[in-house]
Amino acid sequence: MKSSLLAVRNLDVSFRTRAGLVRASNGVNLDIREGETLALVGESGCGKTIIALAVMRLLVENALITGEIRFRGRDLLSLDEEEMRNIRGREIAAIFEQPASCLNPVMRIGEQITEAVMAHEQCPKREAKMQAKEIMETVGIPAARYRSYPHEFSGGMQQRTMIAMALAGRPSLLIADEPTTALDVTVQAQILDLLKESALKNNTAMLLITHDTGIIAEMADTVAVMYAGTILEQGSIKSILKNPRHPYTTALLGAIGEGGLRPLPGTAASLCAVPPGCPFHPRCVLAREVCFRKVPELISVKGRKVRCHYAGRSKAVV
Amino acid sequence: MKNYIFRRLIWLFPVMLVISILSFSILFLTPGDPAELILERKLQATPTPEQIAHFKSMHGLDKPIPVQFICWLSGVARGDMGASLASGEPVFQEYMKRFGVSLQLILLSQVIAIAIALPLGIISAVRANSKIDHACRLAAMAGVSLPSFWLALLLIYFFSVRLGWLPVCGYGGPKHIILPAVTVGVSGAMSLMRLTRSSLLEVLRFNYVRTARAKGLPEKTVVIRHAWRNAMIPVVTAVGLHFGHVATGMVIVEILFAWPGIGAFLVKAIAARDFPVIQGFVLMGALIFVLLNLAVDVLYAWLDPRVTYAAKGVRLK
Amino acid sequence: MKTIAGAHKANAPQREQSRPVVLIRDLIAKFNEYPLVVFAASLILLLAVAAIFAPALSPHDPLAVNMEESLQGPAPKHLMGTDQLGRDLFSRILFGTRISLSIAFATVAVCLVLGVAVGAVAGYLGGVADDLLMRLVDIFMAFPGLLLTIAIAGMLGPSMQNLMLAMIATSWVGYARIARGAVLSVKECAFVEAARSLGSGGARILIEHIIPNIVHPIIVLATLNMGQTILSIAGLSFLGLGAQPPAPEWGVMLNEACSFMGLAPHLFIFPGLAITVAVMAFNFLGDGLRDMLDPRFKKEVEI
Repeated sequence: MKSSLLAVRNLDVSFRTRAGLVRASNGVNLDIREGETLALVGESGCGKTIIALAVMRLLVENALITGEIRFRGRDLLSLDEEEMRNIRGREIAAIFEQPASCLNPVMRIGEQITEAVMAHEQCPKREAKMQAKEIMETVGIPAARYRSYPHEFSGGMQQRTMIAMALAGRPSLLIADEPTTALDVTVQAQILDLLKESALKNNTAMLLITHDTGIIAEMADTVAVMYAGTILEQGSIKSILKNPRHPYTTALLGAIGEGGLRPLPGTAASLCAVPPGCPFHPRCVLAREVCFRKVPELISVKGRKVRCHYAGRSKAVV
Repeated sequence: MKNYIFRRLIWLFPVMLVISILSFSILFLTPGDPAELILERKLQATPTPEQIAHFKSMHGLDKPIPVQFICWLSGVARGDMGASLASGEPVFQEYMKRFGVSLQLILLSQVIAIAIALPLGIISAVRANSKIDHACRLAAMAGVSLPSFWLALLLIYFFSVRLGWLPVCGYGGPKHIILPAVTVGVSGAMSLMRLTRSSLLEVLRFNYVRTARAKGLPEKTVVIRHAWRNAMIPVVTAVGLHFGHVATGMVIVEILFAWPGIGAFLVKAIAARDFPVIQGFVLMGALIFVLLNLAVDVLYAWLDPRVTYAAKGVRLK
Repeated sequence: MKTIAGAHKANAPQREQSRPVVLIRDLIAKFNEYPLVVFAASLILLLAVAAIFAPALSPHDPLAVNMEESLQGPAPKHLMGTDQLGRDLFSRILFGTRISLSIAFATVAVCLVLGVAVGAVAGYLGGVADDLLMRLVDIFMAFPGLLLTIAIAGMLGPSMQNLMLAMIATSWVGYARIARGAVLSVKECAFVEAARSLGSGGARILIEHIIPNIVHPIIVLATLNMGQTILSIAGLSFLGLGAQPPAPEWGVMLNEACSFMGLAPHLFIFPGLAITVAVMAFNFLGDGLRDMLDPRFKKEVEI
């Protein structure tokens, strides 16, 4: 039984804005075990990135975070900045979407990778540089491109650079926030393969954040479905893909299926205007009165957890 | 890049031509006959028509204006800008004599400006919306509104008249340069500080700063090696351009402190209708300004690898 | 970076309100967010009142010489003291406000009208006229403003009118640039084509579509220009190229105060303070307006 690496409990993230308190995440529970990949899926704007930033403690100052984020048993939220900085990059690393904007434009990419190496290993620059070149080759960047600038790279190469920097510290958990969204379709597959390979080789756990349900089957072991800051369904990938129990999950997975595209009706709820009761109820065909009034509890049904008033009953058919 | 520099240098000639024509034509706005005015000053009495005529023919002022212009232009091409009507010295000499003097003041004042503006601007940005930040911004706003000549008077009052530490004016040893340099420097520091702050503030919001933090780098490294390296690009180019403007904004300070620089001399020449000096100085000033702009553009390209100067203007990758 | 657009209560019923009421309410709300703008505007209002009602507010005649009371410090009879000729400094400062504000206002107004007209026409005509204008603008902007102003003022002879002329000559290009930019951006717009096909004349298009586009940057430029102009007026008068003694102009007063620095520091402190306060007010206002009217500045939260 693999041990728990990351255990998020009751994570609430709110922001103090001029217009009041905005709740970006609501009682989120996540579990990632060593070497496992958890896919966090949901439409854009549902708060997935905020979870990633919360784990890394990279949120802005006006964010209120309550709950627990246990990494190897230690609550990350209770650490001071110095301790957290030791964890960033070394134990937990992250790559984000739009790699072009995530790279320092005036610094050569080789140097940026070397910098990542030196941040976590006490070694002279020459050695770090050699390590950096090795990592570059591992992720598929020719070492000869050490002195290139980010704007001279294609999107795929830029993302490989980000991956190289992330792997430099040999992290146990890699957070990948929409790593392929901004890339060409052909390149997407390459990057995903690279991520999977690295994860397997180094026994790195991964938190894969995406709105593309098409890629999670190959990449993830467990999945959590998020909507308007709330987890609606979570469990093993097999059980959820085969047998989704939440109307939203069904709709998400069925959006690209036989019979072509079947988009969900309506637009995703904005985090500033979360509907009362079950957040999905305005778009749910099965919605009844209780769905307006009461937020459903997260209950275990058939090997996964679901947050729906219909859960436990017959399979949710949409 | 070399092509770009070459093209810019070629453009120098038509631009300088237009500027010299413009400065030449300003002189036609003058009421009064320059020859008469200069002679009057020299002789301390009203000159006779014969004296005026003699003066004019001696200095070629009796020829038609386009001819005068061509004469002057051909002289410039040979490196001869004529001689001052008032002092008789070659214009070029007068310029170079004072150029060094003005340059000293510019350099020291910009060093002071940078020394004040950069640290305050960076702190202000890193601790945005804190008390320090608000204090700095208020000070910057007040500083920008402060007339430089009033600041000069204040400094003179406190450090010369009351405390007697520094001389009131004049050109001489290191003590003489302090007050004028501080005056120009502090005035320049204010706008520079605002630019530093806004530039750094903008860069700190960028994604690559987040990446640097995610790598676990200490905050100081993040701010200096990642944020500041990018934020300083517009600041450096602004300082470069500042040099050009400082040269002329210093006129008042030079006159106040009796600092024998270019600006003070030019104003005197304007009042005295000393045409050769005015034309020569304006030309030299414009030349330096244009070369300075070119240098700043090249510097910008060197600092920011994304910028390439292709055949037509700037292309940003 | 993701943003959450301005929060609002979900399911709040929208009440119908007349447009002017809503607009005024929004404007007032906006003003409340920018206390600095309100402060600066009130300060300018105060200065304007001082300028307009200077004769009524001045306790003494600013030109009245009274050698017995010369070089006195601040006292109840003379709030800011007297100068070397016994003239009341406070009264002179009040009248100085009138001079500075009126000249600056006139200068900026002329620059604005001239600049916008030339810029808009050049942009609209395009072609050679446009190129010529842009080269002219470039040259003017290349010339450091103060030097040009000094050159022109010096050439024409020291007087306030010549100073105004010189300042107008150097400052109008800024407005021309903005106007031209606005015209160019609108010229290509589809709705201009549509309007033209419906028969609207060139002038009408110019006025109806260009004006809204340039109001914001022009207002900001004009406000900041007021500050710069006041500074220039004082500076050049200080050098002797603008107002002449015995006019109670701030720069002239500073010039006269130089000789008496040791004896009567109040003579140079108060006029300088007046200049600083006036310029600062306009700078604050201009900066604040720039932020306030910026259309990009919505209520956004960055994550």
